[in-house]
Amino acid sequence: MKYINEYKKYLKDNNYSNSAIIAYITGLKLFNKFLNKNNIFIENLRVININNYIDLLKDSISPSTQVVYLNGVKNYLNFIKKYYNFELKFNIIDIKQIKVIKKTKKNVNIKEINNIINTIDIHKSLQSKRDHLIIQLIIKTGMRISEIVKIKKEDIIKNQTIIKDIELLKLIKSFINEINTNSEYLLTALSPRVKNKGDHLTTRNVERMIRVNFNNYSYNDLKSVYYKSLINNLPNITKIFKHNTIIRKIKLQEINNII
Amino acid sequence: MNNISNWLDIEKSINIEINWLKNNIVPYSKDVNPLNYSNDVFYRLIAILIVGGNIKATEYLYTNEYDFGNLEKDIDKTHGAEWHNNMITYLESYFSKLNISTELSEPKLYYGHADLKIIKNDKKIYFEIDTISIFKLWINLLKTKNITIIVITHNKIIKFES
Repeated sequence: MKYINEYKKYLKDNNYSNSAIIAYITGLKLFNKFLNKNNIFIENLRVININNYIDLLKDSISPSTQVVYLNGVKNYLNFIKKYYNFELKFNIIDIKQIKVIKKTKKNVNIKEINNIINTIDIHKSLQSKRDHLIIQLIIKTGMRISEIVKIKKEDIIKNQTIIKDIELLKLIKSFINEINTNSEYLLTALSPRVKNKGDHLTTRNVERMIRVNFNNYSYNDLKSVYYKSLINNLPNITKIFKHNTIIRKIKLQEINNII
Repeated sequence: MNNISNWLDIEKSINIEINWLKNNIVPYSKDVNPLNYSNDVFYRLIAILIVGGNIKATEYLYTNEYDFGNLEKDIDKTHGAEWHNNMITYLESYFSKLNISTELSEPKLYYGHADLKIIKNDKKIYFEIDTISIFKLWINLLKTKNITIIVITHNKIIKFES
């Protein structure tokens, strides 16, 4: 497939995460396979070909992964259109959408979650202390797992403002003092069996830890605790502001003037 | 800007903003927010952000001479796909012609994705066409500094700035 390396570089330059880049490229390779199998050249690509590709994905891949793969293809087509003046014979927006049926969320019982957190014995081992710290990071900062695992010790030591919760900051500092690793990362594997001790934990490690400690709850449920805490932190209102209505009608073509 | 005499004044102002939001922002009917709360909760939270001066909201009326197709009126369905797609295509080509950088493929927000992102004078501006998740609107305005979210409905442009 043309410009694939350039596309990878474009994704990296635009701060796409490694996992997103891998997923996009995997989807694109699958798409390339489909094109080759059906003797379709990208120059002659039509919407119907992409729609057929989506139908093919439906047989073997979950809807959410289908969306990611399709986004990879759309993004690639946009990329070659924009940077290599590639002329598509259709409008990307006409590609049919994949419908993902979202599950109804269960009501998160904060009391139950707090009870489970309290049952974690932080004095039992460094590992349990680390797990407790990860959970506190999720429910007090709302960070993504991929962000949590990449926190470096110096992020905390040099930039004190990164964590605003004083108790959490104390917890992290005491953890840094207790762990005796040379790793630059805050959260590393602590088991003696692990070979690459300098590496940070993976997102899967953390997801597994949550599964083990919180039977019925997932990361998203823990994050709900964070969202609920945001609802309770209302701003101090010292002056009343209101929205502004501009009655003068503008034309859609003038939208650039108001942004 | 008024001086506050009591909480009743604040409540009155919050209710004015809630009504304004409800009249202008159509919630995405299939939205499932992580807290399973009603949209009313998040309308109120956005209204509090406006009344507290944490975000600025502006409403513009606009006219459109192009035919983008019909808006879907059936609330059980999502927004009118044809109108929605035509509007995004129009905006993307409009900003591209003005040499403004655009990102069409599900631009990432703090929570969720937008329909279109443009970068104008180093400022990131996100567009949501027609319906939007009210939870998503609230959390992104609350958690992202210097963000501009523009919601375009069939006759209004609503600009939110944090």
